Amino acid sequence: MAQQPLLLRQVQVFDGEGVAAPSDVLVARGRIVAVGQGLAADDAEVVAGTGLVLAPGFVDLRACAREPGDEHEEDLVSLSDAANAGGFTAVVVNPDTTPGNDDHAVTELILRRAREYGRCDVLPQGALSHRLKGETLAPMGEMSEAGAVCFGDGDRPMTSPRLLRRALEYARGFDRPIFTHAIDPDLAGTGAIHEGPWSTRLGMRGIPAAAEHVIVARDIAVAQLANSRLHFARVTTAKSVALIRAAKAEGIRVTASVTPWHLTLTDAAMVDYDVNLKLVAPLRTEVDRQALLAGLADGTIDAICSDHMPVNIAGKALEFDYAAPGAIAIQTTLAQVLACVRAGELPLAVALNALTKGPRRVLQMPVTRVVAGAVADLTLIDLQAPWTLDAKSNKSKSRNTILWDQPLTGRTVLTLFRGKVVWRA
Amino acid sequence: MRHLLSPQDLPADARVLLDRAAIDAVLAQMAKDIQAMAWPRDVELAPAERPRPWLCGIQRGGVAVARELAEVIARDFGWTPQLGAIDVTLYRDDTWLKGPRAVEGVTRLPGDVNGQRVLLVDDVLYTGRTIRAALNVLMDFGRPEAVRLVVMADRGGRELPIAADLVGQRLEVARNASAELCVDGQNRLQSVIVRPKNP
Amino acid sequence: MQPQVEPGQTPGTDSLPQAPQEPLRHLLGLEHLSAEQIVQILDLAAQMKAVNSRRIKKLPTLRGVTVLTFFVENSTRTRMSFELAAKRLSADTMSFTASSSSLAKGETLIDTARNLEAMGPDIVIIRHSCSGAPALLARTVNCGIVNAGDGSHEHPTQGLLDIFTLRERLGDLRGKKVAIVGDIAHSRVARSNIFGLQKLGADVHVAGPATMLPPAIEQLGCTAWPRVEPAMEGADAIMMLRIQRERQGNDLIPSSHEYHRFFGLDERRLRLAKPGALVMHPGPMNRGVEIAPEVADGDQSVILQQVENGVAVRMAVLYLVAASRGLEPQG
Repeated sequence: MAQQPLLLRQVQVFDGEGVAAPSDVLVARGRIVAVGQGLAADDAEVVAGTGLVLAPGFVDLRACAREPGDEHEEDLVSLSDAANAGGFTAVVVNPDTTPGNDDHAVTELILRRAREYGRCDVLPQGALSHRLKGETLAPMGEMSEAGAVCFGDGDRPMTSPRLLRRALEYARGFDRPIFTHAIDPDLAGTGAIHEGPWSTRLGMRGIPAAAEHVIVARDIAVAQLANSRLHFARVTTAKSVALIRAAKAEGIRVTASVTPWHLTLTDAAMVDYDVNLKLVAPLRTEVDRQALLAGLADGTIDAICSDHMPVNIAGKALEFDYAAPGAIAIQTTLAQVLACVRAGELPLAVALNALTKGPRRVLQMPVTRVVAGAVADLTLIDLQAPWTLDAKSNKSKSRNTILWDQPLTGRTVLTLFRGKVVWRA
Repeated sequence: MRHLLSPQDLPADARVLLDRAAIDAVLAQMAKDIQAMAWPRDVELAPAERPRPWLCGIQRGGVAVARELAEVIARDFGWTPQLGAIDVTLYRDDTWLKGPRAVEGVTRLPGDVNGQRVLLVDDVLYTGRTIRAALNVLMDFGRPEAVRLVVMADRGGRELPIAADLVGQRLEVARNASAELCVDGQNRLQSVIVRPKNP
Repeated sequence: MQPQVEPGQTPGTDSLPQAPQEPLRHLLGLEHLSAEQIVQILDLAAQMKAVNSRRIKKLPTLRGVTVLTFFVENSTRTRMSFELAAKRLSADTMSFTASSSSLAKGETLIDTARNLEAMGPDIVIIRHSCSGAPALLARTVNCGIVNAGDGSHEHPTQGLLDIFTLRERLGDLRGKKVAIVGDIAHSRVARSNIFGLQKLGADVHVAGPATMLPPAIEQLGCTAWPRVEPAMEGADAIMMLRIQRERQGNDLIPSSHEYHRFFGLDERRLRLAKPGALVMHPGPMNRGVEIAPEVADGDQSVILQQVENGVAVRMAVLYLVAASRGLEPQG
């Protein structure tokens, strides 16, 4: 059945630099047909867009779909819905499922399930190593062929720089980046939060900042050695930002992303031992947060990823030490990032680029723009709309976030995937 | 008990029921009555062998009254009673209604209470609940020979079957008013006042 | 039976300082108590201590109150001290003990807590190997929560009994130098003492091998030393912490022998402190590791008084928490 054309009236198009003067955008047959003033189409549904910003659909470089294996926490359908509600039209899903995505059969399963639902580009991250054990290379060629867009072992630390080198070299032939979670598990020990005044005060074992940037420094050297693309999936420390900035200046092919949690919160938020702030990469200090914002602004950090990690209540109704890490965020990322924009900490253009252009560049996907002829993967944003994430609005199967029931500002009011309305607030 | 460091500290809505002169007269009469008080084992003992009672004041007003009463006894009858103090905070029956209170003072007895004659001294007798609590405190230290209740004033309004053995002055105080002992900075008795209860 | 009066003291002048008592709905740590609240607990504990020297060592105060000890980490003596405190206040006690690993495998802490809550305790005393577990419980169940030690976070009643013992011997703690020596990083006793002592104006010094000093410890209001001598020098009291090699792993110190040589309290180091300085230890002691036996048993040791004071302090805490709950609407 042919889709009804859609006419977005007087929307402010985000063009990568800033927000343009209001214009009309006509969408039909999965593409943008025209952008201009006074557009008309008799059979089109008209959406009043005054005061709203139209941007290319967001791309998330890191989310957990929990499918296959843990569909009680999330699945590809609920993840697609949550992604759409958050303004995303493409999501890289982690390989650390059960079974892990270390084989083209699993990659194909994920893609088949996602395409059946057809509301979001699900982009599988293939495992770097067999069974994600960090010992031998996974069949990256076959997984690339099946549709994996990048490789990595999810949240598992890369303990072997030799294996990382081989993976980077091997992936070069398939033109895929390697994603890593930079942490030295030996130095991090059994820590659960950032090591600093707050860990001391709260009596928690800490993860020193150095546990991250020793690996960032090591992996930059390995990436240079292998002459291949390496992506730091979530950086959290000021020192990491400085190392990546220097590496980029040297021409080493590294990229980085940051989560909305690290842009908005510091370890001081741990004061209540809230398990929903137990993250794989701990919240750091205010100095680190400022460095992350500066890194985004100067392009050292390429993208903002949601780091969406649904965890069932059974994994969170526990002592902090025993609780599973992670928080759902794909629906709130935009509101979290807009809070930085409103606070004057981040220019709007930087924030939106980090959700649109930045992640596409990391994956070397074509950068889409809101122009006639482009694929209509679009998100229409109300920068001021108040809303709350609650049992009614939540699309995820999990609810592990400190933002639950909290007032939020700024949301996606309409998401188009291939011209089809997949989310409407 | 209220501390009045100067006459200006007297609440505006207060009325003085007993001033210092009246208190002096009341204490003198009480001392006389104590001297004449009969105790259960008196019949078995020659007057010289009869033990003198302790004066145990209930924190905090009763302690101040007991001290001055002891001074009057010493002045008028030539013997100095041993003094004790009893704090009832941890024995109250309204902890659950009113929440934690500061402990008013310490409980200290002049010696082994077993076989002792004890005069329990309070400033103003009202519901009787404090006396019930004070008796329980005393019993947790041992088994006195006998306990008598001595109060400087009785305002009526009893809620428990408790009566004083010796009352200095009976007062007419309405249920919606409170009668309070006022003392100075050295805990010397000043007056007994009546004022409307805090709403 | 001991007479309850000290010679020369006049009843009628022994009223305690009066201050409005803030409700103490839970006792999760000393960090969030005011100096006034701490002093109130200690003053009340002094009253409770007097009760413990009577023949009838019991108060009727908490009749009808049910106190549950919920120990997810073994500690027989802390549990006994709390149970004795509850019983001396006439509360009913019940106890639940479990290893935290077995709890983590099956039921969640919250499920267990809700089950226990259904039995209707008014106060839950929790000991747990995870920092923050009492805070989690306080958010989850409708009971007064008393922290009997959580992970490396706080052990507020131990801190209170230590401070009580110090005040009993030293009087006003303002300007008094107290050295806390040992594994500060993993010690909840150290944290509670640092918070509490600092509020009462003491000059707190912590010392131990730098592997046992957590980052930014001085931000809690103390002075930190990687050797023990400067902390002990001129101290009014020295508090030695238990070295638990099984808990801390083996990478913090080379050996018990070396620890004793460089960081243990022996007679020679004790002479660095003020004459008559108090020697304290939260127990159980490793004689010959953190403390030499002759010091532990010496004249300056108040280790057994600490244990005795523990019951009185816990009575005061239980009374205040129970009575504060009495203020809340029922049902």
